[in-house]
Amino acid sequence: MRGRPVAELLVALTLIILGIIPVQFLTRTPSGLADAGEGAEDLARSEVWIELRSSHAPESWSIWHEGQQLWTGGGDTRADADLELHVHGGQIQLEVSGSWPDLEDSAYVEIRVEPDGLEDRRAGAWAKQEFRKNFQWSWE
Amino acid sequence: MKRFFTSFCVLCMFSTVLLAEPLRVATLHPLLTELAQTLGGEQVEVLSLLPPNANPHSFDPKPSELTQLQQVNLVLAMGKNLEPYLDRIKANLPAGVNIYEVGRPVPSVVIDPRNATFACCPRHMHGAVDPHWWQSPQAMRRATRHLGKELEKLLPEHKAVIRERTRAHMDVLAELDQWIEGELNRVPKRQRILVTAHAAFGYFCDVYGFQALPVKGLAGDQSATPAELGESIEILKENKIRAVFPEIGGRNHNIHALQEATGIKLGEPLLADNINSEDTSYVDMMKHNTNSIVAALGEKETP
Repeated sequence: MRGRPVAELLVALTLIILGIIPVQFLTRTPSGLADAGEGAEDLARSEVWIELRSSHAPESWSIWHEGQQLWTGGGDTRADADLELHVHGGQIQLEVSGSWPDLEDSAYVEIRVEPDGLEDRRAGAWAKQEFRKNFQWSWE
Repeated sequence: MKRFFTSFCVLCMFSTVLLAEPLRVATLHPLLTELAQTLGGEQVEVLSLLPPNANPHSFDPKPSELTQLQQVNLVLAMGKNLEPYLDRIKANLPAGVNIYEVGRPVPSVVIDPRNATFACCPRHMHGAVDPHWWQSPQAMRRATRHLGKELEKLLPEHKAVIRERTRAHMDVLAELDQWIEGELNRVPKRQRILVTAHAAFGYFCDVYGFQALPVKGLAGDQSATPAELGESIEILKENKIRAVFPEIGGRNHNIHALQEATGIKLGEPLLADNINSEDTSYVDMMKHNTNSIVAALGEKETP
């Protein structure tokens, strides 16, 4: 055991190399993801003022963007927020969700977006007790 | 001890007076005076440089007015190159005092190059930005929100009340916008052509689906040749224009000549650049213009 230091060194080096390869494989950035990342850089982030109005005060309502909840509130027929959103290809996509548990009929929900430097846009929809809807606007 | 107590009280009173001192705001347009007072309330003291009825395109502040600016904390301008004298004002301001261009957050409407001949002045010809952004209540609403934020920054101790006032005023403007839209529903699509004495209604036309018609020879600082007037008459006839609109306080001599030559209805004069009296509010101005347009171009209401 004591008399073969070169062999032991070789074994150790082999083990290290064998260890490095899978670790590097696991931690490398796949080419497809790298492309997506580069594409994501094309997305311009823009400060957008969003105003929500409803004919009936919701118990809660939220604004979602790219799968993330960016704002939540409730208890009032009107709310607004300054949010930083991705404007991709001159388009903004948002999802609005809300809950009116005591609602007997329907509530009208209006959303207005005012991106910095761009014209404002608005859209509306009728909501029942639970509401989740995608909105999309585009600018030339 | 008594002396200490007296000094302490005097110091407290002095501090209170200092803290209660309003923000001194100079405005370069009466509509900005109204806006600053609406949002700032008793927390602002407004010095209005441009009187009602004055022409903001040709206004030139006097040296005495420039001197008054030494006392202000903020200057509000319409922006979008309406005030060519801003550099002179800047040169007269104390260090740290800014000019806030209220129209800056509003997306610009470019004057159609075909309309350049009836632009307000040479500076706003040839595809320049239309500076009359306040002709759209939606634009005014956006400008109000941004000015509210600016005032909140300058008066952080009054943030809540300024925000409350800003929201209340935004509601007023949203209501006004809806009211105008409702009234203009009486103007058929084919009649939504606005012939005015100068190209000041680009934002209005953009929001409410009107077309500003390029008619040569109406710009006040240009004398229309008989040929230009003849061309204008042809354009008005071709487009079956029902009415042309002079401007309150504007230079309307050609529009009257045009009306006489064509027999086209002359609409109630519009307010374009400025309000005509201290009692006229922004809402009054927009309602007056809308009523005038609807009266001249709208369908008669069925009883």
